[in-house]
Amino acid sequence: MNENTKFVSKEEYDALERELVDAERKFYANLEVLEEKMKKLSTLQKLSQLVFETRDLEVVFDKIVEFSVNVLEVEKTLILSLNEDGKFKVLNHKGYSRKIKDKISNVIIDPSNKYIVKLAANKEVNLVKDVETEFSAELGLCQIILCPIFNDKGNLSVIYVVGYSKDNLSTYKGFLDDDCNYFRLITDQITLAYQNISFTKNLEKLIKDRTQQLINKSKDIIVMLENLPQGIVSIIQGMIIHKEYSAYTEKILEVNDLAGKDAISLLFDNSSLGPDAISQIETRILSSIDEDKLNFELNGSSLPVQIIKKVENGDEKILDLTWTPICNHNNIIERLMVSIRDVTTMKELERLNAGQKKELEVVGKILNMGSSSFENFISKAHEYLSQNEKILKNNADLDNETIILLFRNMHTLKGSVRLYDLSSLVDTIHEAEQRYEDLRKNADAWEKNVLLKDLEVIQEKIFEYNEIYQNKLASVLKNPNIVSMQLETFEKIVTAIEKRNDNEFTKIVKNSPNLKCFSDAFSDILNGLASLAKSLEKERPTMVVHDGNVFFVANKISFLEDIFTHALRNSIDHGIETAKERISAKKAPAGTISISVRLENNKNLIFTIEDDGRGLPMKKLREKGVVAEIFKRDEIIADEDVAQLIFRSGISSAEKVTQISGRGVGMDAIKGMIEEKGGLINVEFLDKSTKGDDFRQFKIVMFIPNDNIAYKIT
Amino acid sequence: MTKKKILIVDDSEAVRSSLKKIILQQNSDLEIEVCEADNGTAGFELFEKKQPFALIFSDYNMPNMNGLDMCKKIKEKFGSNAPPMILLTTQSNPDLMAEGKKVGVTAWVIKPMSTKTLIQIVERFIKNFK
Repeated sequence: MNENTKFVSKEEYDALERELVDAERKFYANLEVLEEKMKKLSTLQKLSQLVFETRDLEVVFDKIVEFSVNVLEVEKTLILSLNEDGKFKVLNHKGYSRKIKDKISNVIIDPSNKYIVKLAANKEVNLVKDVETEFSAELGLCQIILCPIFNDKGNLSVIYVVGYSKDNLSTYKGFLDDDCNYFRLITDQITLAYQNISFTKNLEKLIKDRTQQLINKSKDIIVMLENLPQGIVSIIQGMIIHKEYSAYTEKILEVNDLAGKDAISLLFDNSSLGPDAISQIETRILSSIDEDKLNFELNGSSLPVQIIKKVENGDEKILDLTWTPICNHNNIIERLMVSIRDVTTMKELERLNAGQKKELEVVGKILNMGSSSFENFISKAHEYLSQNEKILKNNADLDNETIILLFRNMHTLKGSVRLYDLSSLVDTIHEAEQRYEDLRKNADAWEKNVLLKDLEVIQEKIFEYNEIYQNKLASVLKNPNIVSMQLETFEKIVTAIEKRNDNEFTKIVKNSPNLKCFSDAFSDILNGLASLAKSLEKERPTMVVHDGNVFFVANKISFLEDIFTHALRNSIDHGIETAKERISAKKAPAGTISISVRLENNKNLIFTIEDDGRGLPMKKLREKGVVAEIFKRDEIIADEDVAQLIFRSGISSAEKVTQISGRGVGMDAIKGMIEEKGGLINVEFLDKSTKGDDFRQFKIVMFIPNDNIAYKIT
Repeated sequence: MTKKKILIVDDSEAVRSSLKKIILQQNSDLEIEVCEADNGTAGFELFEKKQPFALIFSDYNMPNMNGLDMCKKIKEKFGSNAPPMILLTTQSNPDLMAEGKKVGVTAWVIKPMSTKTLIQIVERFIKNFK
């Protein structure tokens, strides 16, 4: 026996045994409670799960009252909700005896009940003890667990759990703290469930709304695609047309059922683009679809924006194309949208508009010229052009003289065109003139067809002018009112002559639209001098006209106009210096040109023209005469004879050929025209002979027979 | 400030010099240095030697090593330190482009490339490069 062995007495043993038994009993009792609790908790867990997942709180309320009565063994449970009328209504109940159940199934609990007021205020689960109710007479005092539940709108519902002390059905011994805890949990769960349900409902509503919006949008797009007067297609992978495209596209391209068609051939077959350009486009589109947007940004800018395409019925359409990539959220291009606009009509209108503008310009020019000047111009132009045409057609070879004639005609025509500022003709005529000029250097290089083509082009343009004149202006300008006015004047003249009233006669003549003094008759030319001088970078010359009381018949002076056009141009171009040169020569910056007119015995018109420019370059003319083998270098020739060289074709004193003159035909053309009318032209020096001077002042004197073109009226 | 470097790899001398000229002219406000190589192998070696670069322009079709293989090598060796790589080609080939995407080619540009596009690329990538 171990020395540690201890002996106990019987009393001590009994006491220990009692303790043990008691402990065992307590243990099992606790175990039972624990098991009970576990059971409750597990049921609660299931209920929680249900509440969490539910979409229908009716079902949940059923389960709650069941849990309350069956598991927690509470006698009676009510679930009430506060109605809009401010009264509670029973939503669910369990545990009431039939008699009471009937009574309470529509029982209204007063919201002003002090417990409810307290509940609504502290929003916590409350345990209220020893409460007397309308059933207390029968069932005794009760305890109530009040659970507030607030739905998503903040409205109060209450779980109302009651245990009565005298209820026979019950094993009720008063509520435990745990019971309150269970209901706290349930309450929280239900509040969450409300939020969940409301959230889900909102979400559903949102999705529904969005879906509806999407449907509406799709409808809108479809309506748009159906009705938009514009072609819209999109190209998807495989280079085909997506099934949704605007109906108008079919109308533009005149092809039906575009969906799935090859995009490249649909858009670019029979177009203005060559196969290489089309293959480029194909490559660029291929490199865009299903690729990052960047690829389109880098390659798309070279896609065509306008093409001309021949459609099925043979019409040519001008199409504007706009390319837009349609990307997904990752910036990958899903399709390439192409908007197609048929701008054929617009372009046509633009063209017409441009034509109209040009027409108006032409009308303005012709109005400035006046009807008779214009008709003169047309007939003269026709004359020159047909003469050139005849020469070109009838000659296999061109001799120098013929070339000069061709050139002179064109040069004169250019003069008129410039004078009247018929701008669309100037360049064409200048080009033709340049070609004749080249021929003068190398007569063998002539190409008949090119020269004839020039004439044709000029003829065409002149024809355009004439068309506009005939269609728009002739009838207006030749209005009978104008004619009758002239007749009236004529009658007055006759009357004046009959009455031998010279003053009256003079007055009438001076007012007659047909008789004009020099400045009026040649106003076109004189007015044109400013722009002429400007284009030669010279100051506008001062004109001094001594008109000698000579009046010209307006429609008979067109040849004189040609003469003065040439003569004045020569003066400004060759005679008058630039402002700078003049200032350093102590002259006024602007030159002066003087014209005097005389009518001798009513038979001869005598014009003189002089300017205060540098004078005739004698040395240079002499040199040219030698080069042209007109005289020998050491030959003694009078200045008067040297001066005659200015009338010889091909000799110009100008240093450079300008567009205005300086081709050595100005003066020879004048001479030709004057001689044709049976007149004479000459140079006279103004300064007394100082032989050997480089420059000599001079005037041009012209004698022209007066073939009823002018009258002297004093 | 160190110069931003652009690598141009193309077997055509004319293409290289015109690219270079446009880049330098259009970005005279930026400090840019242009390096050139005439094939993929030389391009890779130059890249290794002189990196970091801000941008690579490379032709696809070149002797020795093509542009795509060069980009692949650069990406393998330098990973995220590789600059944006723009490949130039005359023909779009979806397989090639797919491979380029795998390798990390930033974009394919179809030749002929417009000056505007070139300027756009340089602006976009050079101005982001620090």
